[in-house]
Amino acid sequence: MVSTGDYLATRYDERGGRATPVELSTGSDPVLRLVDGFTRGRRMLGRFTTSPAALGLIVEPAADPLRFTIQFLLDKITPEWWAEQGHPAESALLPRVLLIRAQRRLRGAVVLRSHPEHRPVRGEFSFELAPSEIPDGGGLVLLEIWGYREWPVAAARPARADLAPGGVAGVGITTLTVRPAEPGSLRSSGRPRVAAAATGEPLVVNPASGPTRVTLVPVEPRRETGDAAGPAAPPRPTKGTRRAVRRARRTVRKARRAVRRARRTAGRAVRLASRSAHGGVRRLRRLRRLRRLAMPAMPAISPRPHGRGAAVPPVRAMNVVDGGAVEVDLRRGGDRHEITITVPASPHPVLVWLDTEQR
Amino acid sequence: MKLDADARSFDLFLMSASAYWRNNLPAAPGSKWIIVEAMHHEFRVILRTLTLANAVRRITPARLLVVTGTDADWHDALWDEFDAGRIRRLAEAFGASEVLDVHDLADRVVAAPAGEPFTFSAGGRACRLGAPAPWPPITPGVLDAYVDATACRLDLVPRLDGERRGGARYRRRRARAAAFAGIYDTLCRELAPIALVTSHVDYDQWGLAVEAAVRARVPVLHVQSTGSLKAYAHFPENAAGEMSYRAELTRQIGAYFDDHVWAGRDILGPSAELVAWRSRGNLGRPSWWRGGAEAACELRSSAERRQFREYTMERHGLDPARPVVTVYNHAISDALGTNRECFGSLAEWVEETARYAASMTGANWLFLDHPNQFRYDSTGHFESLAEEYAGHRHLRFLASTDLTKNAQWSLTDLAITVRGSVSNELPAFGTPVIQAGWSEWSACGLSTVVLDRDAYWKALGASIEALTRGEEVIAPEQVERARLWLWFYRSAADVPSPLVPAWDIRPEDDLMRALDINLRAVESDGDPVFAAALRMWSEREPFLTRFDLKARDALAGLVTRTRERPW
Repeated sequence: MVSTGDYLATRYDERGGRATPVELSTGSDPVLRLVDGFTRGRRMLGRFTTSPAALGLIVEPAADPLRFTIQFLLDKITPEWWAEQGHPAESALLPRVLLIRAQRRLRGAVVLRSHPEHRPVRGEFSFELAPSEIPDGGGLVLLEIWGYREWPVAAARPARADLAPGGVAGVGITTLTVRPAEPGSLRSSGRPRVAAAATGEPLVVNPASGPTRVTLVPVEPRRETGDAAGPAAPPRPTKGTRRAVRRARRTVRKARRAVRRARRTAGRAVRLASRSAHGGVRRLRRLRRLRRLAMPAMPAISPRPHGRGAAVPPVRAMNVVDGGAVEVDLRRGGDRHEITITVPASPHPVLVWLDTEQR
Repeated sequence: MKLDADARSFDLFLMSASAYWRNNLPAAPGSKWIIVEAMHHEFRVILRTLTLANAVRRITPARLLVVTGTDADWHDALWDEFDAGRIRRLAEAFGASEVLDVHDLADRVVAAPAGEPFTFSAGGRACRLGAPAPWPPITPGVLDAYVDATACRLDLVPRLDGERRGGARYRRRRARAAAFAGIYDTLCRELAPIALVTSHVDYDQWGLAVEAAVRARVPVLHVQSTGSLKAYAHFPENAAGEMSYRAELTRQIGAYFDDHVWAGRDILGPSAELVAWRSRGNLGRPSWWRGGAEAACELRSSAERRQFREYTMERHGLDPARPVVTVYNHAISDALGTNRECFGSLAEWVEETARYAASMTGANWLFLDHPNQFRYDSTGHFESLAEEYAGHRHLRFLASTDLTKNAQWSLTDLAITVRGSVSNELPAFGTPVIQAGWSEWSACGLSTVVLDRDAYWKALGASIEALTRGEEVIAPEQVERARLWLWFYRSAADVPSPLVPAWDIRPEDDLMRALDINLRAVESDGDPVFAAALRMWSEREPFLTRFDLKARDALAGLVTRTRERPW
């Protein structure tokens, strides 16, 4: 279409980019040229107000590929900003699937979910851009962050009610780094972030040139650490871990005491609020249930619904670009606790979840 | 009066103001009068009218008659807080001789028995309402237009239907308007004021004062609620017989702009670039109705715009193969019928434009509602229009704030308005605008201004066709003129002075403190407000200016002189 933009320039403009490595940790950094649906932060890059949203960066071209890494944050402000977009309160703790596009191409996705007590939950996503994708002499590296429910393919199909609407709204970015990519093929990844699969929470397998194998391991209920966003590896309880667990439990107990105290004080207000909110009582019950399931530290299948000898629930997988089903291979591990899923090579992110409905 | 400052800081300011003006006005006020309006609830507005009036008093000694007051309709519709006592104290600190509550007076006029002479006291004399004056009385048609515009504004409706027009509320408004017209005519006749200084020029309580002053050949000075001290001036000797005060102003601003701004573009170009850079980032708040970070445009080149546009198009489900026409809806009951327009009302304009758009499937149409519409419409006018055209996929109805400025500017290939400020802002950055009416800047050559419907549809059709063919619709000269207008409006015609701190200074305790310090600590000689008022007054110019734009050689040394043209 018509270009009227040449007149956007003034004699007072400065380009604003700088050579890599670049670490952006405040919203006023001139490298962050443009934001849309994103409020610039002071001690973090900023926070999304809408879903989807976009960030435009001025990045100096380099001879080699550049690796972009985004650090996402969900915290106690997340649900407030998210609710300002008119989303129902009972969906606040649903998993958020964020799709990340750069230069109009989908690079991958991450799954994030708020902690029930809104303690910080972090997520990370990285992707690489080839030198030809970085504009030289004018133009942006345009990042688009779409919530799964707003992504045009998803929007055209019946929405998955078990994923949060407006998934991007309220999510913060603490830092965004751009540095030369390590030698090797271009790739994208979201740090595996898989919470209790029995809740139906999905996991994302990001584009890869070969099959990707993901092993889901049940968590012993006694090995809770209170952190819902750990790495995807089986727990190895060491002395240090046990100490960390004790510390975490103390923190949880302290927080719960604080919450109980606050509730006693605000009891009347809370009661009134839950009466007036539509489905208030049901909402409270749901929050309690989610908290129980979300406590395990490790990406896992809760052993409760699928204990020893229980049938493995069917796995569903879907290409997020066109919504098409993806065939995956599913195997039970040696001690019948583990499930190994093999996702075939795909140029697009694949959303995988255990279909608990058919259990 | 709306002033969220504590009583003590207001008192301190009044003491300082009182001392300042006692020393900075002629010792003898003389026998002439200036009428100053103080019927708005904002302190910042009244500060501006009183300051400008006093600046004129330094040139021609005169007494101040301050007209104030409100009624239940105005109060309920617009004012948060209207404290007549505080206004009186403020006026007295600025050396006013008399404060007249014209609303109270209008109550008495309306209640007085018909046919009997009504007399009131103003300026130390008995004034008889309705006595003949040496100028023609207001025509019934003009009075009706003010009544209708006021009724729409106070009722928050886009137009008056038969029921509303026949109702008691309308009849009360009409009687009140007739009383205002009589009072203002009488004041002009009895006091023969040398000027009317007002903050607003529309509706019954302000508009009829301006209307009377124009007929009585009294200069009207009209301060603006933005910047430092900005004011337009209507001198009777400059009038060309236009339909209204605003239309006269449009014409005069256009002529002045051509003679002194456009003609001086070689000198003013770099300054205009600087103001354009600042405006794009919303410094100086060109989009005064839009706050926060999303009021700035961060796009800086065609490449950036093109990239971002692809995302925004997809996000809003628009057809990337067709141009985007953005229709900026107005605050639908705002100052109806006060300048030349194509359509009978702002509502009719947007309705007819939507009907046309429905048939023009070759473009994407974005209808953006005014962010402050809730203060102007109680009928859901925009929502019902959206509902009516819900089945048309190429039409979108959104709140203006649903789209960031980045999104608006990347999407819009052609903007449509009647008199909105987008028509000076968008052309400065390359987006063409069609105006279906006049505005302050519409004679300055920034936009395509059409005054009849045929020309309007023709301009719309031709622009969309040209955009579809990939042609550029805006001329480079329009962009240059628009940037010069931004400079003129925000720089040349905005007079910074310690007497009038910038509009945006908040909270108001800070404003009180700034004023108090300025009045006590800064010497008054050569204050820019005094110099600007003297130039405007003695040279009969249509606005206050920061410097003499006619003295081009001197001007060259006062403006920015850097940076090369990038395009």
